[in-house]
Amino acid sequence: MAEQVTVDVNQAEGVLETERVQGLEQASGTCNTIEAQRVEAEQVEAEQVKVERVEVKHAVDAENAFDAEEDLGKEGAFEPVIVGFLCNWCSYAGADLAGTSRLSYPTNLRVIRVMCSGRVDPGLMLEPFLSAADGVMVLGCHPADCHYMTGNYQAEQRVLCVKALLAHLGIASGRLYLDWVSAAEGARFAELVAEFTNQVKKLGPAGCGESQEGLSREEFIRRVRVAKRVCEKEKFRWLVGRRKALLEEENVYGEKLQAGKFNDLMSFVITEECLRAAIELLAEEGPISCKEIAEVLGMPAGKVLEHTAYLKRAGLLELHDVRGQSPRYVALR
Amino acid sequence: MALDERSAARESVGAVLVIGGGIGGMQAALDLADSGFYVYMVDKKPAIGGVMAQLDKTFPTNDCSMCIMAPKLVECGRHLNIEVITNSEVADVRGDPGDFTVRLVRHARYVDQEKCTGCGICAMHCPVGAARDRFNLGLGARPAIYIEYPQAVPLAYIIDRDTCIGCGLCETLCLAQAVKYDDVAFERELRVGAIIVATGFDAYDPTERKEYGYGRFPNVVTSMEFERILSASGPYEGRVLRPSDGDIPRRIAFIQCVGSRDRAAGNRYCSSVCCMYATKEAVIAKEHQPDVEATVFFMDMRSYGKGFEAYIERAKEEYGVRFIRTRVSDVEEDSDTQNLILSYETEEGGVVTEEFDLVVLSVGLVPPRDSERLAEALGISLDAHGFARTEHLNPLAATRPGVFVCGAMQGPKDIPETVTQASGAASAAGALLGASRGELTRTKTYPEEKDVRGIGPRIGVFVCHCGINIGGVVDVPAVAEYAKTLPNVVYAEENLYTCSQDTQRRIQEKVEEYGLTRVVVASCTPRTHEPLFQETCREAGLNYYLFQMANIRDQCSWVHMRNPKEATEKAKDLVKAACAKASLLQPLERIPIEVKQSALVIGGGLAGMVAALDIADQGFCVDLVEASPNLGGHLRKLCFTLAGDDIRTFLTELSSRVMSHPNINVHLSAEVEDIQGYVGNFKCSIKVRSTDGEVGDETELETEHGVIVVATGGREYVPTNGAFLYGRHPSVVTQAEFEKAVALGAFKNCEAEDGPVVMIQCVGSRDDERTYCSRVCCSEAVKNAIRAKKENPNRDVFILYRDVRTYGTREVYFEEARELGVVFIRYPDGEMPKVWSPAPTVREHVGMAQGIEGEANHGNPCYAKGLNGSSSSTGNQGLDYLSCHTKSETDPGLRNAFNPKDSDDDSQPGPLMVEVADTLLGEKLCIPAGLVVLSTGIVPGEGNKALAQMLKVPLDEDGFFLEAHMKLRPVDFATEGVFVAGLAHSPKTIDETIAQAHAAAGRAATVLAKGVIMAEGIKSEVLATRCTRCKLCVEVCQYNAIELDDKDDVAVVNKALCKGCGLCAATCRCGAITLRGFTEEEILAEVDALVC
Repeated sequence: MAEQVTVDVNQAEGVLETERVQGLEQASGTCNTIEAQRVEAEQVEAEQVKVERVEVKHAVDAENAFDAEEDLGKEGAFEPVIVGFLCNWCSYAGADLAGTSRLSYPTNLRVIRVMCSGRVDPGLMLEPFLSAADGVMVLGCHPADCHYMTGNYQAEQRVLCVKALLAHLGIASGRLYLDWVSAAEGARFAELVAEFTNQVKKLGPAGCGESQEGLSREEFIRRVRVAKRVCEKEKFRWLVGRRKALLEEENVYGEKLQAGKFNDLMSFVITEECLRAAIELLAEEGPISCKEIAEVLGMPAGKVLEHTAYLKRAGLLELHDVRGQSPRYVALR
Repeated sequence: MALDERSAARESVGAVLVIGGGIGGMQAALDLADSGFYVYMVDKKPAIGGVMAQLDKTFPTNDCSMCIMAPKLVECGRHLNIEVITNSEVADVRGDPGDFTVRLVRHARYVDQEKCTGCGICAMHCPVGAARDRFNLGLGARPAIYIEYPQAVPLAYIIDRDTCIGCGLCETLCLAQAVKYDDVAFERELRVGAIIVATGFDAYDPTERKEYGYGRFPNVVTSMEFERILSASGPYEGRVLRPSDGDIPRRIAFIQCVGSRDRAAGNRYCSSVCCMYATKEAVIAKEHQPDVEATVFFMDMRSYGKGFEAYIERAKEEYGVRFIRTRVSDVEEDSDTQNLILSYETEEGGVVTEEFDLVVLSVGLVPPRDSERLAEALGISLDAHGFARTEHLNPLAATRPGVFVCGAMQGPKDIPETVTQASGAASAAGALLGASRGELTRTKTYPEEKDVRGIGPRIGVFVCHCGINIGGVVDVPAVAEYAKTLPNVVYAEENLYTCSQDTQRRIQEKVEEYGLTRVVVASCTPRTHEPLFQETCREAGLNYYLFQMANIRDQCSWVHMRNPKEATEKAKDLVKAACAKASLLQPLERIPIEVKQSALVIGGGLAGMVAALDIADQGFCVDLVEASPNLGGHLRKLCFTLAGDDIRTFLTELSSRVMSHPNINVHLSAEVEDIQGYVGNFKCSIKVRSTDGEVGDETELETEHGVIVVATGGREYVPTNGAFLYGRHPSVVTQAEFEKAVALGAFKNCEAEDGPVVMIQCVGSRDDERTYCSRVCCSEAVKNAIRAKKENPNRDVFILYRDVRTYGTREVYFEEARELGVVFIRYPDGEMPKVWSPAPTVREHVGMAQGIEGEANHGNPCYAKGLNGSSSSTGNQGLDYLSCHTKSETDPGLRNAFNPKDSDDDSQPGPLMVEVADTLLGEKLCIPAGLVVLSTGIVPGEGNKALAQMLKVPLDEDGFFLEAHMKLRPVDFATEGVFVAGLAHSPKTIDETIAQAHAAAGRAATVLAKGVIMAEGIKSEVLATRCTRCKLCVEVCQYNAIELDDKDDVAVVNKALCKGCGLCAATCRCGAITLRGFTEEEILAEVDALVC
């Protein structure tokens, strides 16, 4: 996977750069808080990318990887499937208002109503990708408007972290989108849906050689599974859950944690957990040795051994048998 | 309310008429209906919602107005015990408190409200398109058949007879057959026990102020019009454009006090809200359009409310809003560009002209135009300004007994004040009608719930055409056919209107016929219709939560009109997802929580006493806990109100009513030691010191309560370290000390030669340490200055101020003070006047200092841990009024302060000088003062922190208690069953404290009256074996609904407190928490059904 990882990181960075440039342009144009968030999200990703940076061999121009504009007008062009999680009180009401005002928007979106955007678990954000979704929207109340006071802030934390996770795995983080829509913003809702649909069109079908990530369907699903597994990990969830309090309030020493320090740790945790999750998933398919895992993942076998040992200690793997000189492991899950 | 009045109301009617369906009317109606009274809510407009529905955002939180009020709208519209009667007016009222007969006139609507489904086909085709859209203040047009706004309640159309041409098209198109051209006005009589007037206000019409050019220049708009311009649902979809040419205005001017503080306009009062709303509009405009340069032209910046001062600062610092203190004299238009040229005088004296692209006139609040007629119909009188007349010490009672008033009709005020008064008025009405509670309210009885466990899901699907709203785009028969093929679906059908009465019955029949265990309706939005269909399920014997909805109208047919094929596919997907989730739905229990019929009121000051009395009058028991040995709190320091009422008589009467009320247990010298439990079931320990003050002689009480009211008050700020020579020079006193002395007549005999009285404002307020405004000090200074001037016109009185904040109708007293010759000198921010004595008086004035210490101590009762809060100062030169009464004649220190020449003290302190930078003259003035009066602010009580921890409620950054929501839940906490009133909440005046105390009582009554509260079924649940007790869920829960169990082993959800947001479930590290009703499996089933 070393080779792959190199490419992925590079690609992710390519996407990142494009997104960031757009983000910054928009941010400077409108000073919109959402744009500012997007930039922040990308900064988290940037931190992420730094950790796993390996020698870059292939320079992939993300913009040329999939020329969506060209395809948009064509008959039978790619129509993405988009799932939206909307909070009951503001964004779902805004979506209703778009209807009352008869504003049309693309038919790609399928809405799931939740009481609060804070209900949307990191894993739930990824689940649609395992089916056939190409993009996921999480829409909540504007800052300070949350019906449950702070649910939207937590949703924001989760989306930031899941975006970083996706970027790490070489999946365009632009497939996940967070924004705020009030009950009075029917037009804004329609615009956001149209914009996001377009954005996903440009990214291309998830898990298709022609998409911006250039991943096969199989590989895309494998990576989303890894991401989803990481989202179930206690360490990741703990950091996600504490992020806001640690960065905006005080830690146990009465200090405000530096964002860089937190992001470094987050990057580290993401890297480690991704690898462990990948090992777990392989071991769930049947007995497998460290060498075999290393081969599939393109990682040094020593590194794999380290994590396999960890997972065994944690009671997630067990020794199955020894084939030749190689012990083989299976998942206990 | 007088005792005889209540006893007269023994045979009362358990219904209340609420006039006005704005935010005030809605709050009053909901509180009353929730505490056992039937409510008729009458509005002259075709829909309720009032002005708040027209607002874009609200200050100081920039909350979206519609987002926060829509749930209340829906609740009013659906409440079993609220009858919303729109398009109607009150003709007259006969009878007595407790039993009124009200005659209503209901105007013709021309649409049958019962039949109209609000689908809007009629309006879409109506040929009339140019009627003035009242809701958008004429900035847009609407058809002749219309609704006020998309979220209108009731959601029923109305024909505007003036613009309708009678073509008959709407009747032809309406499949619900709701159009009724032969509709006529009719009269109706209601019997009610009490009446609440909540008619709000109208915006001042600035046409008559010719100098501002409103009506002549298209780019001069009112603040209400600008509010609609800013609104995303407004005429320009939230884009900041100017009306003349649709260009984005870069320079926007806000002109304050248009129609307020303006004798020429006939409105002498201040409208209270304009400084804040103009700043908010400037901030929002800048958020929409960052290159906007916003300038606010104002006279005094009146940001006196909670969080207001910080908002203004943010507007200046973060958003760069420019504030210029002046009165704009003239607005002219450049006829080429249609830009506007403003002329104004600068503070330095020169006249300047400046060009703007758009001018917003901050119009004042005036009484509704028909209020004279309404007052006559109701038999109540209006005050000099045209608002309902009330008394300062009884601010919610109109002049006719049994009629109460709240909101802007009582005087200009903002939303939280309105909501507070509304809850207060509801409480006052409840106290009057306590005996007839529950007599007219309706409750529904349901068949026994079917046990569906063990029976596999059997789903019935009902697909709605909604006339042609859905059916015109989506192939409804195909969707219904498709539904039949889905797993677990045993029945599917299509309906013209699934929400109609006959379909409701049909659904019940099909549940029987096919043995359905789940119902899915594919129609409009669950936000408005889910409760209706849930009722239907329940009536059919199914659990409420065995219902699921697919939104194929608002989020499908209406938004994909040009793509019928895709829309049909999407509708199928949505139905499939709904069925997938329905298959997994489980019956959820609405858990009954028993409510202890008793309230704990913490604090025996004004707020605590009024709240206790109200709750007791409503028929519930109250334990009133006061830390000091006396009732009265901060009020004991005051002698008279701005309006001249005698506070001491009032306080004596109030205290004795509290002490003698059969439902109130008063615990003096007592503190709350511990509080456990939750709404309905609080357990408290109260420690009572013995009354003779002997240490160690204490008793412990254990009490149980359904609700808690926090009314622990605040303290007067005391300057420390000899600032302003306070405590070091006998002629430097606080406003409260001055008031007492004046009340005792100390001012009558002094002479002009005694030197002027110099009052210094903002001592301990709006400074670096306490950034907030203490709200009351300007009015207090004006009050005492007027009193002093009246008693002794010869002695000069100066008030050194930064902004005179005599908001609302208090403004007339500011005017009176100026007429009496009180000199107001404005000093600049950050340049506090200095007080010094040329002959240095380092000697401490012993008596005074002791008195102050005593005072400070007295004002400081620490409720949680208990300082010695007794008025120990009475022994020395205390200023406690009780001692003043008896001792003032022989009190040399105080008398000296006012009449230095009478002093028999040889060691005469030196004269006083006050140095102030006068902004008007632009130079430093030195005033030789006979007496310096410090307008000291209000600081939070010291016990707040401990009490907040005990109750698990938050404090704001200034140390006052922080309510659940600044706008719409001003006396509630996020923790259910705990309420706040008075200075504990923030600085406020006596009438505001009284209103808030009534409100806390009213909110408390909504809990107590129920006896049993039904908690919603959607709740979190912890799987104990997975929990690792990391407490992340405890941290994220804003309702204190999760904590570790007694053994600290595992997180436990308190079902009484959980609101079902699911934050904990999505945060839990270990996947130990599920949210019933929105479980992971259910949502995944939806995802899978939607995407594949």
